[in-house]
Amino acid sequence: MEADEQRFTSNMAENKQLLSERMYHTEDLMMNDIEGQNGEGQITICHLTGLANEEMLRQVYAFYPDHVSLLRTVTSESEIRTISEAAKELASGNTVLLYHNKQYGISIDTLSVQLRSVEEPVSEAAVKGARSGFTESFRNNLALIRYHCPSPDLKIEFKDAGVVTRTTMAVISIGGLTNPALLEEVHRRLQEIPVDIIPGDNTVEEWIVDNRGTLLPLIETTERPDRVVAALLEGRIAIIIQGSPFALMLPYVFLQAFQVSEDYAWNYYIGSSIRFMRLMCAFIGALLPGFYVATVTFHHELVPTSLLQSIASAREPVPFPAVIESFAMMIAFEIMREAGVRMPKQVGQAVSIVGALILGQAAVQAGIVSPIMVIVAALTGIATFTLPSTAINYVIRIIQFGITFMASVLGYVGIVAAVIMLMTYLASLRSFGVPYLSPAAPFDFEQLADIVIRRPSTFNNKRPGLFHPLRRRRFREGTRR
Amino acid sequence: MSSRKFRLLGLLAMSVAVLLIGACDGSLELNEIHIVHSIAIDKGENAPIRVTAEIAKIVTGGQQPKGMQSDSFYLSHEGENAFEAARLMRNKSDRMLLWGHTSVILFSKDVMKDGLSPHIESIRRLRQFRNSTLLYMTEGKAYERLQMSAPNSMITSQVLKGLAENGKATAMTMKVSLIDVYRDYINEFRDIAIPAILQVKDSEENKRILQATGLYIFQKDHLAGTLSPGQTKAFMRASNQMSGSLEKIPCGSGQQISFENINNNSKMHVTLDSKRQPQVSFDINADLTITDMPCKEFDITPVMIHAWEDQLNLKIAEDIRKFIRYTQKRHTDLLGVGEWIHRKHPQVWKTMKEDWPEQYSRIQPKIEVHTRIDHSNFIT
Repeated sequence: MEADEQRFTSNMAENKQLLSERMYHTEDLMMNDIEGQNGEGQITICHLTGLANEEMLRQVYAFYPDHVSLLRTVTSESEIRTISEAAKELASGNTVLLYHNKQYGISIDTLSVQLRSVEEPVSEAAVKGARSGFTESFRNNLALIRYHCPSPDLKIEFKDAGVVTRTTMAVISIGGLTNPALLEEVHRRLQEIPVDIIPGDNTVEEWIVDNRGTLLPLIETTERPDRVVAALLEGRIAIIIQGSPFALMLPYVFLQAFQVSEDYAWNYYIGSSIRFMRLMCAFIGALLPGFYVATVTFHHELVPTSLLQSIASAREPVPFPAVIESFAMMIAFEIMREAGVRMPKQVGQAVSIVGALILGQAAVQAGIVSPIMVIVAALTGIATFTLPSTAINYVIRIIQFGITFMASVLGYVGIVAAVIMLMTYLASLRSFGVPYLSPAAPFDFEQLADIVIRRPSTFNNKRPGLFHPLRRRRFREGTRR
Repeated sequence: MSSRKFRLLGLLAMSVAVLLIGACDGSLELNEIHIVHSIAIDKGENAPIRVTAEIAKIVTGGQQPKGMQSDSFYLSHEGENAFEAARLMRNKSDRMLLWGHTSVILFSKDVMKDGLSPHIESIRRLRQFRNSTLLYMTEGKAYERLQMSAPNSMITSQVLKGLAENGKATAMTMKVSLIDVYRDYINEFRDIAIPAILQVKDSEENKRILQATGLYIFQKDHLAGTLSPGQTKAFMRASNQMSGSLEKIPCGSGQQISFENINNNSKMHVTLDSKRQPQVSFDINADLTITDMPCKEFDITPVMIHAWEDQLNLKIAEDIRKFIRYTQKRHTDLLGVGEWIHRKHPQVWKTMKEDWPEQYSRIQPKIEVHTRIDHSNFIT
């Protein structure tokens, strides 16, 4: 029998030796013997320095064994029988109590790591609506979901992944609503993750998606518990991963990338117009540089004469072809954006201002780029920032390079060809069996209506059929709408 | 690497190669072209056709592009036809000429005397020209008109485009585009009219400027005459193309009351009598307002308003009658009476088609005008 599977023996010295060996004699492992009273016998208290809550440890040392039963009532504990189980519990920050003369121990949850408190989500800020976001605390994240959905139907299943780290994940669904076949498929895929370590949500995502080679996100990530609850109530499944402030939501369709939970916090006319504008921004982000390049190199006739005259005047001193100018500006924008993100906040702002104002102005005055191209690059960049999904935002910025290249060699024909190829590719993708372009393809007007615009809540009688929920109806029979 | 991946990579490489080799054809950077804004077509000295192009200068420097306030320069060339002249003009230009933004084509009267069709067909074959390109004609040298300076515009095409809009307010000229002329020429719906451009002396600055009044009219392919500004207004009213105009009637002591025509509706009815002769009647409704009332001896009363309406009815009917009489003399069916008979009575049209100009000249139109003076512009 290997050491990992070895059970505790009645010889405490041997147990301690095995545990220490299992943990490669790590020096932050504390193993202290305490003489028990009332016939409990001697015990060894094991914990990793820094991970366990000091106050709780003090209680354990001070009160054990008289009040160990009290400790058991206030903390979660579990019985452990093998060396590897003990090692895992210690690595998770728990304290392990090994009973001498007994062939088992107990684990007490004493984990205490200084984590940030619940804050407004950084990547999904909202003007109106809930402002709480997930943190790195696994327990807090589950509690937030429970708080936003205080329903006995909410079902949480724990699953470990990572051969070395055994990271805990919570698979969350709504009992009686989520399709069991979907839930089973999620469990199956999670079960098959073979990696040593789960550093974050993206590793899980990469292992369980339908198409691992795609650029597009096939699973949605969010920092917002209210979005998770909304997704659960559509019959989707959420996965929370220990240590990650993001939840995974699946299945995911492309058009959901333009939805924000805040849309439902506003009047539906406002919500619809904002959502429609976001769709337009996606088109601008993907197509505008290509459209500009195609227009000024192939289709001069399509521009109003006065505008063409202005563009021609502005481009006159620029020594580069429009496509080079366009690529240069797009790359410059990406550099500035990346610098703005990576730099410390205060410096990042300075980089943005220097980049946008001074560099742009200087480039125009030096005759390297035309003012029109600066407008095109800026508008394109800003348009992509309106997209709520950061993943789609990156994807669109990558796609715009391809479309601009096609536009530079074939004009509008190239743009049309690129869009057709892109649409064909999108139509070929699946997210847990759900077509990625649905409800546009396959076409379903009823569901599409609530994706392109924000339909009044009173009209949303049915849940989206895309995710095959067990119950479609949202309202009771006879509800006045 | 699997053969599938090889195939995919090969396909990708081929696609890129095809794009790079076969594509980019037809691409032109903006600093490789000159934008042609208008052209003038005249008779050449050494060849039948002289084409002159007005090209806007590309002004650089400064933060704000000048747009349509740039200065312009001119290139001319002669050739057997417009296409040859335009193509050979490239020899004089340092850049490719972009004809697609030509907004005005100005013909000289001399070149049109040889017939309309060769020019219209030639221009239509040059697919670069837009359907909305405006057509004008002028007495004398068209290229000289094109090179005249304007009070507030550096590019003559802008002046000519602006002048075409005047028809909405004065009804003394009209907007005629290339597709309008081509459609009427091909379908033979009606005879063609092209607005005239005149060179006049500006009273204040004693400077010569361009003015758009009147129309040149054609009998099929041939230049048949010109319509005066008054006849142009009557034509636009009868053909229901008028949206605004100025009307005047005498009010004694040599003075005149002025009216602004704010609305006009005209319906033409064509019938065949018992002898299968065409009868044409016009039913015209017009709304007017008083804009100037210099005759102090009259008060604006309902009785006077009715009297003025009667005078206006007579005057407008007479203007239209004069216009029709003029076109009958020129055998020019500008209103499309023949086409109306063609559509309603195709069998009859077959018998009168050959003799239509003569038949048209014998028509005695019935004109009923109903004017209504809406506002006196006084609060009483």
